[in-house]
Amino acid sequence: MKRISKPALVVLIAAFILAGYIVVKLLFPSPAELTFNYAARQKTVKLYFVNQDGKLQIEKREIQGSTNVSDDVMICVTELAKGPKEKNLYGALPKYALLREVYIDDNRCAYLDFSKNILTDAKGGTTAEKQLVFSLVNTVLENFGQITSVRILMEGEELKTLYGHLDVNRPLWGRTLE
Amino acid sequence: MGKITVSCLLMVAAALLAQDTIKKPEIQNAVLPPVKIFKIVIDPGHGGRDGGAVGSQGTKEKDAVLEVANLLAKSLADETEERFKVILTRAEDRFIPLEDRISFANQAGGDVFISIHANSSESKKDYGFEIYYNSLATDDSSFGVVKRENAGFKEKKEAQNVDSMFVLWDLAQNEFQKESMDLADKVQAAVEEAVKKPRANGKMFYMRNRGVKQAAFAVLRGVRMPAVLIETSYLSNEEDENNLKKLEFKERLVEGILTAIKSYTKKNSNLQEVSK
Repeated sequence: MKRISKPALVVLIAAFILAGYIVVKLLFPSPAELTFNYAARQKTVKLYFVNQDGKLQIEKREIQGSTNVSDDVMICVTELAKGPKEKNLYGALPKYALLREVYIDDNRCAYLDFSKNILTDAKGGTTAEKQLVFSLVNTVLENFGQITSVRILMEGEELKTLYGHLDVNRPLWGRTLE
Repeated sequence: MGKITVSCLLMVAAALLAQDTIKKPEIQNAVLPPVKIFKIVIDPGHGGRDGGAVGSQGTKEKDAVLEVANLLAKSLADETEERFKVILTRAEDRFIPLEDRISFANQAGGDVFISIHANSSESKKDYGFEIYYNSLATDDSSFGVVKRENAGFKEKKEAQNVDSMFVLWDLAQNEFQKESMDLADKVQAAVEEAVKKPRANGKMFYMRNRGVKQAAFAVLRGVRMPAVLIETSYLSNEEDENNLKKLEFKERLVEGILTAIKSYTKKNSNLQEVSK
């Protein structure tokens, strides 16, 4: 039997290791890689609207995804602003709220930069403000596992509050409305 | 001679008695502990160009809460047993930024901060009153740690480190969280008690106690005293709006808030005496 030369053996072992690595990576992709190997595809998103009891309720909707997370967040929030299709649900985000830009920082916090018309008709109570903030935050967190918190900006600037009650000048996490 | 002695003695006795009566009030003042004056900061929400919530019949939050605040201020000032100093963040229809309200309350050295608001919801069925106190600890976190599905994999979200600046800001209010919680509890119980009594016409107010809740409020952030925010009713609900338009309802609210403030300050006066 012909003996395998030393360099050939090293190459063979390296090839085995590489093949094994590729197989494992393909079978068990890490969440981080899914963020970057993002494919534009049709997907179902869960949008949070307000039901008759004032609680948040999910409505599923098909969207055409894009090739990156930020654009998908924008598509998702734009769908949220359009309002619910189901009966007896209410949209908390104003219909004319225009999302200018979305960017995600190193802490995986998504910054949603709205135009100032989000406050054009800002006349709601604490509950209405909670419904707005958490329908938005919950929708983003529910659909994008890569994002851990949300911050709301207006015209690129930090915003203390929307309707004069809740403090939104901080990273926001989702919550259920009790 | 004996008569002179007797009259002299009588005069001395009379002088001593007179001196005694003159001195008495001073002695009383010296014996009684000084009465603690509680500075109650009342903050009617919104104002001026910020109208707050608006009801379907046109009731504006800024007007309704100003009326409740002024009624409460008057009731506190009329109190004879306990001494309250009332400080209003606004006594007229004027816009005051939130940060100005906070610094005003802190500079005045308030003992209690009471913010009065009227609520609204996207659902017109929501009604009732609720009492809030500031809290960051539980805010938003219940949702952030749940497992969620996304893009075919399950991921458990990690808790994110909050910027230290946020923590410092919130510590100011967290320091008084226990007292704020206690005050909120007293307010919800006393307001319910006051509102559920039959009205002058024998009927009852259609009202619901939605309880004590916590949230991160911009107007309570940085307030260095126990603080609560009272949502008196829902202007988005027809019945609630009708209630808030009635003076009788506002007086009931004030009656409840006053009872709660008195109970809270009495408890805290006693605590101060015990700690002495």
